[in-house]
Amino acid sequence: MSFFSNLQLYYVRKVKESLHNPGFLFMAVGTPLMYLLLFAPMLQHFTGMPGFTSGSVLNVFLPGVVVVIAVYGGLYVGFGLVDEIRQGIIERFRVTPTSRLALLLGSVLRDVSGVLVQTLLITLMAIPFGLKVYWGGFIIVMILLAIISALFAAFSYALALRLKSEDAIAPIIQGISLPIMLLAGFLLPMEMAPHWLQVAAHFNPVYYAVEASRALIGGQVNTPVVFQAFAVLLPVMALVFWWAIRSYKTAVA
Amino acid sequence: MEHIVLTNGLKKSFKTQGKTVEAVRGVDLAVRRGEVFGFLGPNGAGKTTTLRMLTTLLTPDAGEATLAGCDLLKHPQRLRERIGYVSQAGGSDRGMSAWENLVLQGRLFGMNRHNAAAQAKALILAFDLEAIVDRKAATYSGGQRRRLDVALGMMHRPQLLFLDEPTTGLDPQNRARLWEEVRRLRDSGVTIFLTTHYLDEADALADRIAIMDQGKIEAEGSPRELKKQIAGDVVLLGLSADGAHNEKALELFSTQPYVREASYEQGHLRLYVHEGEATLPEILRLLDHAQIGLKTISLSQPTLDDVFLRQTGRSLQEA
Repeated sequence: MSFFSNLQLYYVRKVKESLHNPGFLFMAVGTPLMYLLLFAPMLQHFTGMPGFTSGSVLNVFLPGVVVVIAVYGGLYVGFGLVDEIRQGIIERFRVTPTSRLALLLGSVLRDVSGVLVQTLLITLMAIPFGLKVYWGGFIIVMILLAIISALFAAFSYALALRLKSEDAIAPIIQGISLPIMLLAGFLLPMEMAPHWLQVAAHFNPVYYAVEASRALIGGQVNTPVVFQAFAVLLPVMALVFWWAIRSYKTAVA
Repeated sequence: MEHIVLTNGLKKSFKTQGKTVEAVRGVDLAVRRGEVFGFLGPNGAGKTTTLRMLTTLLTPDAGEATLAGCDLLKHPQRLRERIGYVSQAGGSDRGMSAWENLVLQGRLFGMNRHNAAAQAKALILAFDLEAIVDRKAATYSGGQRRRLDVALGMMHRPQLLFLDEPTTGLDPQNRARLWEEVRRLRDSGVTIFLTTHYLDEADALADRIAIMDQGKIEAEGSPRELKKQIAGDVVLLGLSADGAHNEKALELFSTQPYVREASYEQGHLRLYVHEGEATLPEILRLLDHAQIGLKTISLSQPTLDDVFLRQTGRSLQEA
């Protein structure tokens, strides 16, 4: 059986799992809506401040929010895997003649799909509120978000396989998610930050994604921030996947 | 006799908190095609680690094995197509129905939709799952879920099925029912390799057993053969006397010609004797003569626990 038919089976299994979960559907639509209705209105007064100089405040705010959705859409998936390990499902799959990479990627692609659907929804919902979308740039934003959510999902799954306990992975995930979010300038642009914070942000891969997304949605495709984002994120993703695949091959699930 | 499992010197150790634990210390096994092979031992004996090596989930540190005509180390992928494995945790996905679980399992083994559905139907009938086939496995009782777990292991028609502690957590009724399923599978030609820490399960179900303790195989044979090694009957004497008397009693019986073996543990003197019925009067006379107080006396056929006790010096119940 080919790798792609393995991948398809594992992917469809996870997609069905999501669609059967009413909580997931609610969160998929509810989260973006809450950001738009409960937070975006506060930003109206920022018009003209550092980082908010051009166009609608939503053009600064929305690219940040979709990156957050991508990070969280990946980072927390390990909890589900711990449960599958406990039920013996992963062990059962590991004694079938299917590819371990397909098992990992089937789940990761489901997580990426969820993030992309959410991104599309929130973007369409934001247009009536004043968002100006340059669709050519938006497609590249989607590629960046796919990379980010895949990276964090693979990291989360590998962590779950190695530690096999919600209690062990929760502090690690929470411990890294907060600095990553704060140092990415996703709610307020880093231009407003003091110099030392701006320097610190440059060590955060997610920061580059936020900067690139803002440029891309506004129509600036051929700019250094976009190239920087890919130059930083692709190697990080390769590293994380290498580690995750190793975990799937060796971990005693 | 053709062997479906042959292992030679399998070893595995783990590092935990800087210390190396030798979980399996050189295991040689020979399982015959078509039998129920029971792998008996206390928790932590290394049974599950051995099973995980045989099912390709763990790579052995040393040793080799051939299963169903495949070399474990050279062709793990081909081996996976020929063996089935039901882990202690079960393995059925609770968010899916029995039907969805079974069909996906078949597809993962490369069956097309049609063949997977046909085999799933056959197993649903065989394992009596018709009434619940479309309900999520999360709603099943323990016995129902266990039957689905075993059905999942049989989905690709393996020649050899591994069951890790299949009846742990089941009530007596479901336990008996699963024993029946295992016998039926054996009768249909599948070789069953099962681990258990229940003596009665190994005794009732297995054609042959291996007893494992502290990473090593202590004995191997049919339950009857193993019990015959004990040769004779077991007399258990409950002594009312203090330590000095116990020593004296042990010494006294060790020298008697009809006693093959004597041991003392927790207020009880255990004697392995020829023809227990005939020797009981003699034992009583001897105790009386030596003025050693007796509280209880019992005579029994040897059990697998006696075999375990003889090999390891401990009772399986307390191990």
